[in-house]
Amino acid sequence: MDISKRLSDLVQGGLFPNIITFLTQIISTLILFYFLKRLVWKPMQEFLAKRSDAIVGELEGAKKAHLEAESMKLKYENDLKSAQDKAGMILENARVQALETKEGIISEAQREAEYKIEKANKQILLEKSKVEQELKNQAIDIAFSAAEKLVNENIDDDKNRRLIDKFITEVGEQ
Amino acid sequence: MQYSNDSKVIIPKRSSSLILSIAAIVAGFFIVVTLIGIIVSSLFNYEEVTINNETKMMFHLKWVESDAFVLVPHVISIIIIVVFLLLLMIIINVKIKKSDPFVKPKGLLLLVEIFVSSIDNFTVEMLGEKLKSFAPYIGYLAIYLFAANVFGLIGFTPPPTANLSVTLTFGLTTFILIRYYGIKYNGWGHFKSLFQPILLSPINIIGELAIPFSLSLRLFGNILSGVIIMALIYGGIGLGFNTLLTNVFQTNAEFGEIFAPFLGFVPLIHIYFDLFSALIQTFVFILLTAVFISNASE
Repeated sequence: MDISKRLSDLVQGGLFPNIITFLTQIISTLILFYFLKRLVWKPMQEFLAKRSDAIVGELEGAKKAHLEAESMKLKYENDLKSAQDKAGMILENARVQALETKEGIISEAQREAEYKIEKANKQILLEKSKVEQELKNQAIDIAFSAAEKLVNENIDDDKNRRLIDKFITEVGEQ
Repeated sequence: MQYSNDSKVIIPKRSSSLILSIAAIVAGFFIVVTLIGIIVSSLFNYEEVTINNETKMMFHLKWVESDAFVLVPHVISIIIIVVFLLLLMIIINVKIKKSDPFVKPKGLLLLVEIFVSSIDNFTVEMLGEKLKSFAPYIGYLAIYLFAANVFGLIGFTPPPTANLSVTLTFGLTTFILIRYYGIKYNGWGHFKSLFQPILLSPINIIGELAIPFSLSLRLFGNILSGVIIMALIYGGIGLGFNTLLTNVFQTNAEFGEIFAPFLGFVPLIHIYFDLFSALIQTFVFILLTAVFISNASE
């Protein structure tokens, strides 16, 4: 029968040891194993290793960058603090200096004012004495002329003048 | 004729390279088939043998008149699988070299990546870090045995693993590897352990010698049983349809079998016997090989 013949073919072909099949299988095993290792396995492992290396490298880089950023942050914070301190100091100095300047200016002005007042006083006194002297001289002149008119004759000039001076002084004192 | 210095660089288009590679694959396939034909015709004699009024085609080796040198159809299956797998490997190699490891892989490359990394993990888990270089052999077994077991689905020639000579090759290879790694890692202690309780030494020796036969007969039996059951189902359905057609149309119909794949339950049986069984047997074979070798290398 058809089916039984086919089955017997299948079993007979496969069951009994066959040198040709054996050799073919061994050769094909060698070929396929060699090419699988050479064409697929090694390139794929290199491919995967490249990727994992890159991932590990990136992670390490990120860690390093993080540490660096942390140290930079610390440094900048310190810098900021010192800058703030310096600014405060500068402001304080400026205030102190301004106060000193202010006081200096005020005292200078006072001194100047005092000097000016004194000078004015002196001037006034001087003027006063000068006017007094003039007045005295004018009085002497007037008295002289009056006496001249009165006497109307030539008298000893020196003697008269001394007399008149004495007189005026007495009058002035009174 | 003078060309200007700033002549454009011609960049080959992707489509043309694809056509070229397909043409190369087809040409390579034909060259391989022709070479195989030349080799077979120079080595074998073709003869028709008549047994019980039935003629049989037979290829005999030219110089030996023994049944052990007959060309069986499984050899053709082996050659087809080898050529197919080689082409696949070349395509994968080109794809790996072209692609960028930092881009998400997809398609065939993703499958290969998953396959390679899982076989590597399996090897390290079973055999330890020292035998990590063993992974390509495990990977080869996985690919080849799966392809060979599934080959019955094509229906052209029987699957190679339905041939005892083929499975015995793998069994003997495993046996040789067990002895090799046993001697490499344990020296003569590897053989001493066989005689440890001296009374049990015959059982130990028989047990060790049975390993290649148990491995190869398990695989062979499972696949051959699937093939036989599928042949019975196809034969039965063909017989039924032939009888039906002969009775209805009064003709001598002989093509009833072509209706079988269109019946709903036949593909399900194919899935069980060809795909599921193929996968399970491949996995069992790999697992047992790894277990035996790890036992020997401890």
